[in-house]
Amino acid sequence: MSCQTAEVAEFAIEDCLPIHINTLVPEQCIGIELYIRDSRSGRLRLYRGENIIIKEADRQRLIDHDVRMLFIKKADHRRYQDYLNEHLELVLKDETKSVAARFTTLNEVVRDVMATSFRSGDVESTVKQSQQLADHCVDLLSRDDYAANELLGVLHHDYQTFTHSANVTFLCVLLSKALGITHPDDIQQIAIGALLHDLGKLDIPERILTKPGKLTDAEFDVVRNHPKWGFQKLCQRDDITNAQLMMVYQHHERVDGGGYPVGIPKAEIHDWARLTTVVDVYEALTANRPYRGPLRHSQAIEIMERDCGRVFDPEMMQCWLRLIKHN
Amino acid sequence: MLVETYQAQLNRLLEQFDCKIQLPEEWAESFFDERGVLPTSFDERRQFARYHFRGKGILQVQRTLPTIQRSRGLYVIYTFDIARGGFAFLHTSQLFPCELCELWLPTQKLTVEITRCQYINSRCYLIGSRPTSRNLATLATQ
Repeated sequence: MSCQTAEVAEFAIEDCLPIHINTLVPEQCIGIELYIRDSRSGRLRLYRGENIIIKEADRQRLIDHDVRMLFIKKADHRRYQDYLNEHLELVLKDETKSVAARFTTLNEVVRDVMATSFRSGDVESTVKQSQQLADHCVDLLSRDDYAANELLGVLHHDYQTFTHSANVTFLCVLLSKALGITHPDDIQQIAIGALLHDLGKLDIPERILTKPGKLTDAEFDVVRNHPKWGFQKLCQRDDITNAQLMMVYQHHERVDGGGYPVGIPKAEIHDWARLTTVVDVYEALTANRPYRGPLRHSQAIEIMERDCGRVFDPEMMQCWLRLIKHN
Repeated sequence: MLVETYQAQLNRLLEQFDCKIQLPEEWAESFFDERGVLPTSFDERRQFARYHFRGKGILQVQRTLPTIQRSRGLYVIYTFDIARGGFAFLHTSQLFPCELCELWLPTQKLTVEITRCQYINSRCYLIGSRPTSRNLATLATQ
């Protein structure tokens, strides 16, 4: 495609971070150099200088050319996050855009922000970002004109931890509302807990997380530590509630006591953790994984129904099935 | 005035408090008779050998977590096994990673940080811990 490059500059892809074009607010100056991947060389070249305003027509042209991702230099990631936080509210409150379009933007922003936070390994930043993003998620998903199927339609299904965390968050908010949790503070706390539920995966080596084949027992033992590692990262904080901590610590417990890390039965698993388990497994089954493609909704439902009462809380499971079958 | 020995203090505490731990049936008969080194499995990844270490002790939570409410009461525990870097015991309720406890063991007091917890039954949890200060090597061989 032809691009109006301000000057010739090239970067290796390892020096940059991908950002989704939906996170760019039209008619606003991002204040960061944007790079585009050259389809022939695979290298990145300058797409827009830092003071160039991105117009809606530019964005549309990128979409027409099937370009969804641009790149920023790693050194600019903090400025990019500031830009997102500053402009996201504008986009989400823009009533000229459909709810689905706004949700798409929110989804991209959540993924981008969580990806950057997770990659940085900075727990403080991740918690703070989660708190801000949870507000936006709950606001948008609490609208009367919002339909769950719009959400299910725009979620990404790659196997990255931050994508999974973002999806689980949106789905947890849906399920908690369907279960009758109505207090905005509770829903907001659930959203934060869901964004953080897999924080412990930061400590799992990438080669295990992305291994295409079956994990060895030793590798699986490493994976089984992630609820505990996430708990250890968050448990001394006073801005995380007990219920949120339990979402992190207990989301792999099973109601029959066969889960991990403790193996407690249903009565001892926190309600919000049982809620997270249902959504976490559904999202994992319907997402791409390094070792398999995504399952169809019907296949995921069939597997989950088989485990109802053993892995999943029957009441929450029934509510979840009603919700997704309806949509 | 006579100074009460550590052993006498511990015995007095053990008499004072009921033990509410419920051992599983399969453990109950020989729990306190187990001695020696624990067998290893083919995929053992532990660095140091573990030794059975069966007896009674007293636990007091020294520092819990900001979101968890606990009393500072004393509880009878059953000691389970010991290795150079860690110590396991049975307790009536769940403890969480990063909580700090003081343990009165048969020969010494020990401050430990909880590292893991496994549910055995509703009145029995197997707790893994590591000492915050002294090395357990000497205790392990006593």
